[in-house]
Amino acid sequence: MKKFLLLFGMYSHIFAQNSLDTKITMDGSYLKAWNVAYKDFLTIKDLSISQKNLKHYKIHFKIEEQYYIVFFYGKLMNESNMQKYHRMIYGREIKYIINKKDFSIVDRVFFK
Amino acid sequence: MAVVGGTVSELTGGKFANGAVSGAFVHLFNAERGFKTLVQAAKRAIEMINPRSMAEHIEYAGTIYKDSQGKYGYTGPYKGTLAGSDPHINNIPKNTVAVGYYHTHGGIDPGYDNEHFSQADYDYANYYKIDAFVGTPWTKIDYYNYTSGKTITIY
Repeated sequence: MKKFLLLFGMYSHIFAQNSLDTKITMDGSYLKAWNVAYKDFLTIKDLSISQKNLKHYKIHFKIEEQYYIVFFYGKLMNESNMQKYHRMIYGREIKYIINKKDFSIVDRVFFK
Repeated sequence: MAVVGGTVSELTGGKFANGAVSGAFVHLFNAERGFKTLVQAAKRAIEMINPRSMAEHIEYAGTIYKDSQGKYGYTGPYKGTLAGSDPHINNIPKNTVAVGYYHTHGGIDPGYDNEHFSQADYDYANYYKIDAFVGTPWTKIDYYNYTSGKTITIY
C-alpha cells in the first residue's frame, strides 16, 4: 500500500502567510531528493534562465513506498502576462520521481 | 449556431475584426454560441480545433461563456505554445459570463504527460471559479468541475 505524505501540507498556512517566526523541520532525505531534482532542473535546455527562477514555482514533495516525488508547480501569471506569453505559467510544470535507495532519477515528466 | 466575430479570411490578414492584432494568437474558426449546455459548447470547441492542434503540436484554448438567455458559447481558439495556452478569459461577448475554459494538448510529445490536466490547469479554474476542459492527443476530453473538485472523462 502506498504511503503518501505531502511534506509541506501541514505547513502550507505558514508559507501562505509568509511568517518570519516559524521553525520548519524536515528529514534531510527530502532535501537530498530536492538537490537531485533541482540539479537536473537547471540542466533543462529549452527553459530559459529566467524560467528556471524558483520564484515562479511552488515546490511540493510527496513520498511513496519506493520513491520521493518532487513537483515543480508553476505559479499562475497575471492576465496581461498570460496574453504576452500565450500560456498560464511562466516556467514549466515538472514531476521528478526519485529512487529512495540511491537518489537516482527514475523519471521526469513535463506537464502541458 | 450563431457565429461570433468575423470570417476566417478576415482574421488572417493582420488584424482581427475586433481590432486585436494577429500573430500573437490565431482565431482560426468562427466561435459559436447557442449551445444548451456547457459540455456541448466545450465539446464542440475542442472537436473543432483538436485535429489542428495535434498536427501542429501546439495548444489552443478559449473560454466557455453563458449568455442572458441561458445558452452557452465559446471563444477562440487562441493559439498557444507546445506546452501552454491562454483562454483569454476576458475576451467574451457583452452580457455574458465566463463559466469554463477549454484547451487542447497538441500532439504526443515525448517526455510530456499529454493526457491529463496540469496543476496549473486546476489552479486557473479554481482561481477564476470556472470549469475546465482539456482535449488530448488521444481525442479524450476531460472535464474538471471546480465546485466538486472532481475530474471525469466525458468523451
